[in-house]
Amino acid sequence: MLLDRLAAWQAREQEPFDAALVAVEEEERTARRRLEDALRQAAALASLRREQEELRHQLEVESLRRRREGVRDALALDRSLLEARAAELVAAQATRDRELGVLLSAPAIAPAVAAFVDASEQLAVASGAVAPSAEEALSPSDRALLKPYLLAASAPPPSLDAPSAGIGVVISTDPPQGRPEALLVVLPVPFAVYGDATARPEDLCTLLAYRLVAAVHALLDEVGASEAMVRFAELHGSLALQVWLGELQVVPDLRDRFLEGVAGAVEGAPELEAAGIEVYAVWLTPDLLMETGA
Amino acid sequence: MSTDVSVLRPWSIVGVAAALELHPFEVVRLLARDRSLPGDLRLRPGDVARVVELGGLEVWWSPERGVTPAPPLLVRALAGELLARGIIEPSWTRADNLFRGLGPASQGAVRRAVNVWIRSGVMGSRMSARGLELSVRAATVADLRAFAEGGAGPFSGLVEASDE
Repeated sequence: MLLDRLAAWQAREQEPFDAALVAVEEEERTARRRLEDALRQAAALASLRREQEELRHQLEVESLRRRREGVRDALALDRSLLEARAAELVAAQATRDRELGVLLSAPAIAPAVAAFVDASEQLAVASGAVAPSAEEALSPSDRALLKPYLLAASAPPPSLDAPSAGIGVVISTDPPQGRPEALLVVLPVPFAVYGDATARPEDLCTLLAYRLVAAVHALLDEVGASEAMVRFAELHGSLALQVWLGELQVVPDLRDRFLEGVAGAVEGAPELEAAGIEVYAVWLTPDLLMETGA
Repeated sequence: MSTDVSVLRPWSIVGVAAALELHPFEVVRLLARDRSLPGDLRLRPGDVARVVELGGLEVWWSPERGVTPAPPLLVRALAGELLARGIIEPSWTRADNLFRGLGPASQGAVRRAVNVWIRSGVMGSRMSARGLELSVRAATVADLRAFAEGGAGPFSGLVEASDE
């Protein structure tokens, strides 16, 4: 009897707890479900974040690739423009030379020309001695007769009357900021100007390369890098000068000196003026020109 | 009939470079460093003389200097030239001075000899702004002289042995 009452009491007292427990358990299950949902969502978000990061990286890579491609295209465009003008200039010069050549074949002039050629051939190019010019070796009468023809032969090239066009010399330093350890100058001329120098005709491309190479050497002296070694290399079909500066104490404004000096060195060049070519210098970071491994 | 007008012009850089057995850009480098590159990029005799002087160009082999011996005697003659010209450390010479005036086969023989001598310590080599330069090591002068004068000494057969 007592036990029955006790059981009834316990059941009565326990009832609210059971109900509460059921409610708490339900809440716990709900909370766990929400937590699992949140964790799944967090995992999904992390995955999405990685995808976005990868896409962003791919975009940067693609952007760099497109910018490099743009630089390559610009170099090729400048090169082809210069080569086209070079061919036109060769043709124009040949026409003028033929006309002058006919005048030089006149019986009154031909002996003086022959004497000049003889004198030229007698100059020993490799002798190291300061030889007189062929003109000085002529008789006074031959010299006077030939003078206008000599001037005409050495006159600036005939103008193409072509629209003015700009081509770029690309300058880069590595590292791009701070004291440079290496300098790269990419000329808007085909590498063959260097690689096949003895086989190619000395055309507008060659003459521009001469002027720019001379400018680079003169500038290296000015910036304190006269001992730096210059190496010629092919970069995307163009001729490039690679200069290892290493530990040389060069001036801090090397980049500006080269930007001003390289373009300035070709100002007023008669063959460029005749061809309607203007040369400008542009500075680019090295990663736009070549794989730097960075 | 038309005369070739180019004969009336001063020399081209490429023409002078060919005559001096240099790359045209080396001619440009020498005159640019000297601030004496003509504005019309055409060279007169005085410019050529300047290139020769600035570059330290020498002609070791030419008909005017007598008959150039054929290999292998050429290698002994080369040793003699190096010593006669005092190309002994600390005096250096441009590497191309050793080849100027030689035909392709003789140039090949000189190149092989120089390579062997550098490897075996007879000569030193260094890179400078004007390219590869060479010099005889002071310690090897006596042995090189014995080789040059009589084909004797430890350097006798050195080049030939490298071909085997």
